[in-house]
Amino acid sequence: MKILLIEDDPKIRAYIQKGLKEAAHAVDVAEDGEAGLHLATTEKYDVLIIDRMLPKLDGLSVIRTLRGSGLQTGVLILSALGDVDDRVTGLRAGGDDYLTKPFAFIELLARVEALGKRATASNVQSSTLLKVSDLEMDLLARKVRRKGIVIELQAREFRLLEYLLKFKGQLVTRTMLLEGVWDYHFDPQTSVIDVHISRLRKKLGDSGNTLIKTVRGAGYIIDDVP
Amino acid sequence: MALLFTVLLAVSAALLGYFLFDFGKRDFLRETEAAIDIEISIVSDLGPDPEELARYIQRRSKDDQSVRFRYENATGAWIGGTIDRLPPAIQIIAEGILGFTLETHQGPQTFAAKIHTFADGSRIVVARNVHELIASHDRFQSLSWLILLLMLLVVLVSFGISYFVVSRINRIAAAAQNIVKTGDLSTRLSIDSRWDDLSNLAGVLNIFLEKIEESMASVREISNNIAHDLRTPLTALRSDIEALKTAPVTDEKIDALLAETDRILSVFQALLRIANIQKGRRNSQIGDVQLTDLLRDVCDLYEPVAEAKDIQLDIAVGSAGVVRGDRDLIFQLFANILDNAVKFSPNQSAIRVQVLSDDRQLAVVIEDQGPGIPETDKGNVFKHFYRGDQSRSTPGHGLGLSLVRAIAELHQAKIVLEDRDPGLRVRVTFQPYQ
Repeated sequence: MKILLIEDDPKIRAYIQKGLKEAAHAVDVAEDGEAGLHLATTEKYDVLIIDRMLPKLDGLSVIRTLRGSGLQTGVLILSALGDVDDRVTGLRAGGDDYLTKPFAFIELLARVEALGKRATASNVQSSTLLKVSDLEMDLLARKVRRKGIVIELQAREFRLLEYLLKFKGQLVTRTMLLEGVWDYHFDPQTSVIDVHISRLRKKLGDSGNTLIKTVRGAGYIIDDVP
Repeated sequence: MALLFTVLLAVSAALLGYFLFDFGKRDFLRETEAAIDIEISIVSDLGPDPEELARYIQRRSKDDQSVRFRYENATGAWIGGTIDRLPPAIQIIAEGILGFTLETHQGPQTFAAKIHTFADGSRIVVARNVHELIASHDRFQSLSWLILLLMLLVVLVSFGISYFVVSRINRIAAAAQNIVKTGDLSTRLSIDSRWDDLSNLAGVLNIFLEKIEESMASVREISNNIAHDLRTPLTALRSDIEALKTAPVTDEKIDALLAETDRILSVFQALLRIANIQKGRRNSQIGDVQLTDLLRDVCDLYEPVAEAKDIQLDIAVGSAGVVRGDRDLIFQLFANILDNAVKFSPNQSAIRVQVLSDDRQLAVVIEDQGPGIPETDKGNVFKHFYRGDQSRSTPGHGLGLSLVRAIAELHQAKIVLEDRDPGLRVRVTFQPYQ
């Protein structure tokens, strides 16, 4: 993917740039809002990572200007302001996702890749039938089959699986799952998500954790069993 | 300002007083003089014919009791008229007008008179009863005095008030200036009385100052707490990093350090979050929250966790109704309570979530069969980082219930911890929906 990073802090900029390059993404960087806006309008990117507080032109203004000119590229907002209110203003300005500093790089990467994936997925006709190895998920009939046998899932489990499958082959972090599946923005005290995943695995007969793989300290990946 | 206002008022009062006196006096004189002049012009046409005059005088005196005449010859001897003898005390009211007292049926009364001298030296004195006039003039005059006195009083009072008000405003301004200059928020404006608007203003400003001082103090306390609470884990982290100098760096050690750092960050995050909620900052997320759906979602989230410990999770929320609030925060509140309930419940026990509502209030009750909270700890569990004896071995950073309390306070909800023996009953009572 081609990614534009607009971040004024040189340390964080270098850190993100290095990490994204290691994950085989092309990264352009800008140090302030004006330069970033210029790059974003002249070049084509898959994902924009924009810090909220930038010199010359603040991040939200950059996003508003881009959205105003009809650019639909996925935008991840980085911010030290982590209140729900700040988050809401960020998303209202046109951001697609919001990540509060400090963050783990893997969380950023997972979100960036999810944003990139969403962009390509919305171009292709979005499928109502999701598949991973011998597992089939029919979103219309709301049925899940493994090796042709129907598996009964509760509504929440269904959504959990659907979310994982939408980002097949990609890391999905626990916070992404909480936000995407539970639709509440909150801080779980304990690893409730892990318990939900292990129950889902049990129902799917994924005894060796081969279908839904755990990425230690980060989240989960669902992928075809090789 | 006060002085200017008073001077203006005083000048207008003085002008009013002048007009009252001047006009009153002039009118009184003019009318009386005009009436006497008419009589004189009539008698001067008749005279000097003593008989004609005598007849006229007789007729006129009969018609009008208020008019009296004295006709006398050049030497002052009485010839005719109703005044036999002029009283000894005669005063001059104005130029050509005399004043004296005569006996009447109503007792002695004041008359004003003019004298007309005929060509032959005989004179006629025309007197008019001005007793009524003088009485009303006197009344008028005393009224005028009264008005002037009142005006004077108004002037004095207004001077007093404006002086008082201006000096008080200046004092308030000085006190505010002092607070700005020194930054000492403990200063208060002096309140001299309880009844006037300015004291009310000063009182409101004092409450305002108190609020600012309180929030400043809480900010200070929070930052102190954060500094204090983070020092310990940061020191631990530092010593762990230092230990790497001598020991080989392994992946496990890096992971452990990262986990330690993440823990510190999460504590920091939680503290900031609590502080922000406590700060009661304007929250745009406030809306109608369907408690039924929300409670089902919370239970749904914790159901597998409970199941893993073989805990039965009963929910009886029915149609719980609606409260006003931030749904994310209310979710967090119940998630934390339920998280604790699951955490402290023994295996194979039951947790019950139910809603008790009447038309006045709405209470969510969460009961478990865990060890409960000892009476002595009930006040402490909501404090930052407080961990009861039984919870020391369980995971958590000791901020869960602090967050619960902050959220509850934001929503003006009340949290009561009750003994269920065995177990704990957490009762969250919400304000009635308006």
